[in-house]
Amino acid sequence: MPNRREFLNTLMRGGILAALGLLSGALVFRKRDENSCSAGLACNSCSKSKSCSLPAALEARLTVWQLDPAKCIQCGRCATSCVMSPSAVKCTHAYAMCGYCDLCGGYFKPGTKTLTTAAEHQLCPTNALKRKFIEEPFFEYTVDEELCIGCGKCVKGCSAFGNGSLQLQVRHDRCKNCNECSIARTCPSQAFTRVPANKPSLLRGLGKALSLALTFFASILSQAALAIQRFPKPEFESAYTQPQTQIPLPRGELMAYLDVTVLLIALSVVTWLVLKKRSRLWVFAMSIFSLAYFGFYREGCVCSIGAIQNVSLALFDSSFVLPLSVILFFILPLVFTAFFGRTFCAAVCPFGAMQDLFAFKPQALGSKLNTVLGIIPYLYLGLAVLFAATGTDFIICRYDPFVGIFRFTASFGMFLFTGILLLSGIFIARPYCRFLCPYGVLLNWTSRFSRRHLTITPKECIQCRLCEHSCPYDAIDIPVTTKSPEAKPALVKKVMILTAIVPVLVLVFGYTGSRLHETLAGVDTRVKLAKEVIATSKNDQKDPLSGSVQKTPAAPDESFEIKAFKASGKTEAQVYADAEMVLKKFYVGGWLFGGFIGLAIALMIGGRMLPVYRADYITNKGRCFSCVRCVDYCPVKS
Amino acid sequence: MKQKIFIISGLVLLIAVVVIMLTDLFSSKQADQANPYDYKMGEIRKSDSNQSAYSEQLSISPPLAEMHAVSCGPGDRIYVTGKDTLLIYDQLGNSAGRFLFNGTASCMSLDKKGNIYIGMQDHVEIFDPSGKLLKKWKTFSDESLITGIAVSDSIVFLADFGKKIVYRCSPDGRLISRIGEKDPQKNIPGFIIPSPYFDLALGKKGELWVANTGRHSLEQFNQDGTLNSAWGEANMAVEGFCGCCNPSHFALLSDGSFVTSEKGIERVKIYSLQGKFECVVAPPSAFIEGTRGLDLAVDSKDRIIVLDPEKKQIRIFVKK
Repeated sequence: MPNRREFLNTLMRGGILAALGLLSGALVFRKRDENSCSAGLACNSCSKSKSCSLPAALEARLTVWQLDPAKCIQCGRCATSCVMSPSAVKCTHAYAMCGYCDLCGGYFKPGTKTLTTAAEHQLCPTNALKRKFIEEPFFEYTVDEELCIGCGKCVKGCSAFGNGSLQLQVRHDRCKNCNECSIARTCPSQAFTRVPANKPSLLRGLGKALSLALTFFASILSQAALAIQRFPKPEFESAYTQPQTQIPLPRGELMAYLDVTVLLIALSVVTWLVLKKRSRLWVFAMSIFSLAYFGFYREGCVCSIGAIQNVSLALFDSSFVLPLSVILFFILPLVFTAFFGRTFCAAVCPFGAMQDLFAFKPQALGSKLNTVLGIIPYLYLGLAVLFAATGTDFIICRYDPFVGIFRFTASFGMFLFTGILLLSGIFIARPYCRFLCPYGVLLNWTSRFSRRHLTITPKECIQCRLCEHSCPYDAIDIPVTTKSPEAKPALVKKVMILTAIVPVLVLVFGYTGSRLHETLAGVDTRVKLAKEVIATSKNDQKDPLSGSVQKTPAAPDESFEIKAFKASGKTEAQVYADAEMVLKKFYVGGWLFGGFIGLAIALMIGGRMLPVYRADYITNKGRCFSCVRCVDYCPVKS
Repeated sequence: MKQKIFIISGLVLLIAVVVIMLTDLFSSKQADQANPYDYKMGEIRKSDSNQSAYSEQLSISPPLAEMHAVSCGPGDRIYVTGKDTLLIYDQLGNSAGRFLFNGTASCMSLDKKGNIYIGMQDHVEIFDPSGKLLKKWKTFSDESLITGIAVSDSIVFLADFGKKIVYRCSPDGRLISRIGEKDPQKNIPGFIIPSPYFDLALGKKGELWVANTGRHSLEQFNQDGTLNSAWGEANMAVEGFCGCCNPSHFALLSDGSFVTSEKGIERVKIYSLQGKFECVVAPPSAFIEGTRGLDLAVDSKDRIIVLDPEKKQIRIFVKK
């Protein structure tokens, strides 16, 4: 007959699993508005979705990042912001649009008078654009992708002087398809978008000459489309064959499922090592494997921590497509935790494995400090969900301290940031996992109700105190053997205070969050742009004849964002409407975020107020990472 | 004591991490605006003020959503058209008339009677001075795209970008001959037109000038299609034409010299009858960067009329 505590644990565990099941179901089988196929099924549950070409079916499959050349203003950030070095964005040549010009604006430096291939005449900083004589007066230009850094200099030259056949594109054989593309975050013209993986190109002018010829008239006459001039190819008289523009396909979906399989196997093996084998050495060995596979080989993306954002965005934005593999990355560690504790943290998460290597002098922080610092992950989780749900930013990825290390591409700033974190990890073991990790909040709460958690001793605790200081994470609860039952009125008073404090804190913090909505929304690029537009719109002139507002031409010292706005053809009213919509979302989100923080604080206060009785040394189910260090200290062996 | 130092050190570093994150997240500072790979157009867009011999006398802002062609007619009236509408201004910029038609004009020319010839995608429409449609005829290929038109007493010349050829036609749309087809025996190199800027104009003696933009040259043909001469230099300096297809438009002054306009480096220049650079009419700084389609016309006083589709203006330049 289970006791009351076990019954409540089972109930809570069941609730958590049901919630996870509902969440997964909602994400996988949700109805898509644009699905109008005759089968009447959601794409993800349709057997034909793999071959279906309906837009909804295409979307339901894997998506990848791509750059829309029509929006690109060649600001150079593709070269400097990509996590890859050199950038995964490359100049791509749409040969069908090329004029094969002798004096190519994309090849020659401005002002060049001698049209030779001498390095000093070439515009490209890495000489990645190659010029080859075809026949009088035509020259072919090809891009050496090994040398190309995606700076867009040639693209600007080609757009200004030529037909715009040189265009920047994400090359999917190089792109890591990060959860949040760091170029997309900094792109001033919001030219980066997610496209179906089986149609990964947004290159203009890939059509055949004849079809292009039929469409170019509209291009000439439409001012907006002037940059997209299309034309029949030159009439070559030699045997020259125009090359086909190569569009590399992204990594297949199959590989994503291989990663999920490895995750599942790793979780199972680690769980077995933790609960059955109880071997620190083997757990450590597994953590090295995870660091190597999920960290350095998989390059840390998509991870379970970052998947919080994908799930949040998918829940609030039905147009965002969430691959099943990402859902599984989010769900699987939580399911394992609900049954077996945080075995994911023990040796599957590469972040934890990395930090474990630096825990040379771990110090006990004490319960008060742990409680106070423990609020940070709640703040981080709340902000991450808020920013992801509003489509603002994926801040977990943005401040991922290890991805740059895994990819050997960390900028100096990021390297310093990671260095400081790892340095603090020398004294405060696993600082990210304990005091930052937003996924840790979910694991912590799920683990509290786990069915079978790691125990320090396999049998009866003999109170030898050997394990007392063995945990570098302050996750061993020492016995509170002195029962000092409080007087009933005092206990009733505490419960009443607690009952009152929860809604009060939720409301107070919720209100505070709503008051901060403008500050929070200030992170959003749409709001930032609106602020900039307000600052610059004073210079625009109203045409006295037509009444239309003449946008002041982009001045050289204007920000790229304003230049991109002016080039986009968007009106100020549209920009303000976008910003207003974001602000509204943040107002509601501010209430929810604040309320969540208030609830977390209230529960922490409650946890410290209520009396606790423990007879033995036990692992704190919420905080314990199941690293099995304490087991080695226990003299009781099974 | 030692333990406290360790804890404090660890905490300080941890708090530093949190502060860095929050500062970076909520910082109002602008994203880095430096572009180490900037294509510096500044130098080539600079112009020597000593080379500038013209000043802007007048600008007209026609209330047209699209502007594609400008021309000058009898009485130095200025005609401007785009989509569905043609507007007429007197030489002082006062409105002198308008009429409507269906379609989008890509080029326009007027004969001595004031009849207006408008080139559209694959056909030509001819209107009398009051705007009454006189004739409408199709060109000679499904792939036609008429980008230039010139009219003499009895001949209409059409520049067809789609076929990269000039048609010599009668005013009623009968094809008389093709001009400019590649013919090594006649020393005709053929037109190389990489983008849809293919202009032509008639000289005083009826000679035909055609912009062979892929070769950065202007070529002169007799009415029978014989190539007489050509001039032009591929060069980014002010004396030459740069990019894939320049000069994008041109017109002839009364003394036979040329007014040219370019895209890429937006500028209007004058060349002598022999093709020697003479002066700048409007430097790049006079235009919004990226402006294309600077159609040109010249009136009887040699005022240079420039269609500026970005500023949506007709701009008139006169000699200083």
